[in-house]
Amino acid sequence: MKRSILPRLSEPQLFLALALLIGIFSGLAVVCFRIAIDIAGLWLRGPSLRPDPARLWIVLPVGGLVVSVLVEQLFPLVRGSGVNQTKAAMYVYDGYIAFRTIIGKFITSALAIGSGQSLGPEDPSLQIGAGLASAFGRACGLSRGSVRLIAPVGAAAGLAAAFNSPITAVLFVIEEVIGTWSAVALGAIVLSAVSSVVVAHLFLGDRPLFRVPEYHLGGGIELLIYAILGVTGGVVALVFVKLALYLRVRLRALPRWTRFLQPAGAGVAIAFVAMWYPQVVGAGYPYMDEAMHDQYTWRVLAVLVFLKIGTTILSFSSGVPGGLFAPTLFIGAMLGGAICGAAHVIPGFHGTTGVYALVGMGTLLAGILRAPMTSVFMIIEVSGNYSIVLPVMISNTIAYLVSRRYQREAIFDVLSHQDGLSLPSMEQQRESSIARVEDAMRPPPVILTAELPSAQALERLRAAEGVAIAHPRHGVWMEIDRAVLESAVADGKADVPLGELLIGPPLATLFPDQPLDVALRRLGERAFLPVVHRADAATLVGIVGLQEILAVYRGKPNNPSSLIPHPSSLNLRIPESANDRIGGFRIHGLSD
Amino acid sequence: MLVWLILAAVPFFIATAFITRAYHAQERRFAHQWRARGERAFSAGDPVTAAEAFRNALTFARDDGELKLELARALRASRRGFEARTYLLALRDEQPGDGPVNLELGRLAVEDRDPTAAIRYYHDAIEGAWRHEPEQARRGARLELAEFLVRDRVTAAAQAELISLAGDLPGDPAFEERVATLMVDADMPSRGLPILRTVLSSRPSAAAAAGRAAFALDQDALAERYLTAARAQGDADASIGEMLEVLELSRAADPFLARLPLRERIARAVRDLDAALARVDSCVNVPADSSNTLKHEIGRLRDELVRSRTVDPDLLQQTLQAVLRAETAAASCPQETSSDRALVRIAHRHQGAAQ
Repeated sequence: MKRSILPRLSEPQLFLALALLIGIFSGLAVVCFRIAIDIAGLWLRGPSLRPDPARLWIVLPVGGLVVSVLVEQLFPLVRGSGVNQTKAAMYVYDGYIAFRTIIGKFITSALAIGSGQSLGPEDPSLQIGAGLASAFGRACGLSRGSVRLIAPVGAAAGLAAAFNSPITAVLFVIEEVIGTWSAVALGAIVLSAVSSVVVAHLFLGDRPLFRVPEYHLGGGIELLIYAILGVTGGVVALVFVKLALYLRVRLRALPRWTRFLQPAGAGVAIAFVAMWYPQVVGAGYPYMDEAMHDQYTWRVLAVLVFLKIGTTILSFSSGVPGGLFAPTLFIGAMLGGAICGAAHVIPGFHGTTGVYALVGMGTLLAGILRAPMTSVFMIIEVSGNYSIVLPVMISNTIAYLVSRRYQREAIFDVLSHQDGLSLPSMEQQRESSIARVEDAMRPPPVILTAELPSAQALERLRAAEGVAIAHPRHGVWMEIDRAVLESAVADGKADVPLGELLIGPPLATLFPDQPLDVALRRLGERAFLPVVHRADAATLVGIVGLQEILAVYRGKPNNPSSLIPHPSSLNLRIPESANDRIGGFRIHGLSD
Repeated sequence: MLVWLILAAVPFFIATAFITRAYHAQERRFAHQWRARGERAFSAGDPVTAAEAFRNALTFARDDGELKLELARALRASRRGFEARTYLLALRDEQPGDGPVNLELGRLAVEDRDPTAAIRYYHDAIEGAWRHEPEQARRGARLELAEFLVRDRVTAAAQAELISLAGDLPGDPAFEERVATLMVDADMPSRGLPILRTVLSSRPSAAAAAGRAAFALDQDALAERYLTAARAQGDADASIGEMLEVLELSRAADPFLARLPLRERIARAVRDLDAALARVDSCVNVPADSSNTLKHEIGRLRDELVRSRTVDPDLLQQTLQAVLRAETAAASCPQETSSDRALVRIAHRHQGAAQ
């Protein structure tokens, strides 16, 4: 009989153990991926920041052609960034990502970015991580639900290793892939992200991606400039998203054979631009660093914003595998630097280009990817500079609002629609309002106290058209069984207090702000449930039954929120002892 | 399966370590190549090419502070101080007490003619950490600061730096000559001259500074000796010739000079008064009432001198005081000649003696 080396693990334990392993494997894979991109770049473009233009004229189109052949013939699922593919794996394919796709993404992205296509390595890293997680989950025999959840765990690990920033990765996956703060997933995501970053640190070092001097806000004028950066960033993000989506549709509508040539065409365009502006080539991190160190005039930075938008849209829309994170950061850095440089004409303005470039990165991230929380935390994390948080928040929020105002759906949502998939929109999910108990409840019925004689109780019950609720003790509410009451009166027990006839467990109570599905679950076979005030369980604010709940779900709510009494009208007191909580019988609300 | 995955992680880890190691080695090679190329270009006086090479090197060695410093130096030499400053400030942010970084920032402040920033950065450099020959580097930094302050006429601050330097001289005659020369330029000839005299035997080029120091200290004989020696060495400084001329003229115009005959003393005093009068007449900046007062006094003294049969030291003293007043009143006029400077020198010297 075979014995396992490890003790037999329950599925949640296995899930967590796998999360740790996925983090380690994703970290290793991303390290190899980053090195593969760098080596491809060295071989293809040479070891210079200003590559030989003649070399680019050969490498970019030929590289594009090779990538397109690989994508069209061998790895058809590696097109695009990888974020939507990971979401599709989770929501459409039960967490399934083929191992072949991971290999394909690794090779084609490394070749594309290394040859100079204007895309970045982060989104592919995310997909590689998700793919590894999916493969491991299936190999370990996880249930279908767990396999579906394990892909985002790998995605977080991949992204964390790519950015050297676990918080950003966790937030991004929560904001953009999962959409909810599920405790089960969150623990595993954090575990995998942290373990992958630890692995990446071991091999690539632990320094922040960008480093800027300590920042101090220079007064009102700087706030104004950050607001301008936010508005401009929002507009630039809009231009980028709309153009990218438009061109992608146009290019996909072309005959299928043109897909072999589209990446090469993008390569030709990039090589042409790179004759004068080699900064647009590749992911562009060294040039971001240069921009942050004042190596370009603000006019050059402004030109680079538009050139990078153009080249990235061409690369992305032509189906080249590669991510949008790095180009977004590049455009943001150049925009921030340009605005800072231009603002120096204002007397008394002493802003630092590096800081504005960094804030610009977050601004574009918020505007293009529409992940506001991620964008704020990412900038803090990649710079290791907390003092920058205030301008980042100002600028990001404005850019996010501007982008959302004029582009209803986020880029990833539209991309999934273009691909014929109906993936859940995390942005809409975040912002959709959930139905609550207060939307369904109706006014409190007659409340009968426990000492009331049975005959009187029956009389009042009849007068209340059969809807009354008993309140025998503080915070305890019970349903009155009319048949029991009538039988007691008929048996000559008219003077017996109501409290003696109440049988069965107390009713489950609800609070007005609880989600309506909670009410539905608790209702069971009851006709209704009492809704009590959170500050005083003895205060009945209404009742809710199946009919009211269904009315809300049908879109015809009662809207009785006004029934909830203001705390000041409750005469609240803090109970001093248990006796206070079960004190004497009291009549509340609309009772007699 | 979990066990197999754990086991599989080991070779994957080892393979990644091998790949990373090989890649980092390649990065270091590229960084070294670009750096060497940059250093060659910088040494050859081509800072633009050097900056480009250092930038390329930095892409392979992002954490190399020395490389950033070299890039900043190349950028500064390419007259791109603004760009250099950003790199230097980032380095200073990481290591506030780094001597070379603060020194470069100080040099940028000097180029910007910003004495406050220069003093701050140079002092941080002097008190900062140096990896190679720290004492020498600190002395060099202080000397640079002193040179800037002297050049920018921030005399009090320059004197403070020079006094600090004088207390810590390394026994290097060339360095001591520079310090002492700066002392002379920073109105501290009495401190500079002894140092210069000690280094003269090994540093003949110190003769000019020593001559200037002696000249400022009214040690005419010594000044003449050193200045003559400097000129004989081919020192083309025009001020040496002027000082020698002033010395010669003052010797010819001094009525108090020893062993002069009576007539000659009086004749010299009269000539001095005439020269002062001519200076006042030629200077339109002298107010009319002052001019008249001076002319009247000069006329009176001249008459008294012409009439005198003996040498009255008080009369000669009054004569030189009048000459000094006239020269002082006309000081705002630019046409000061060596003769005027000689007269002022004589008057100052004997005014001091009289007091």
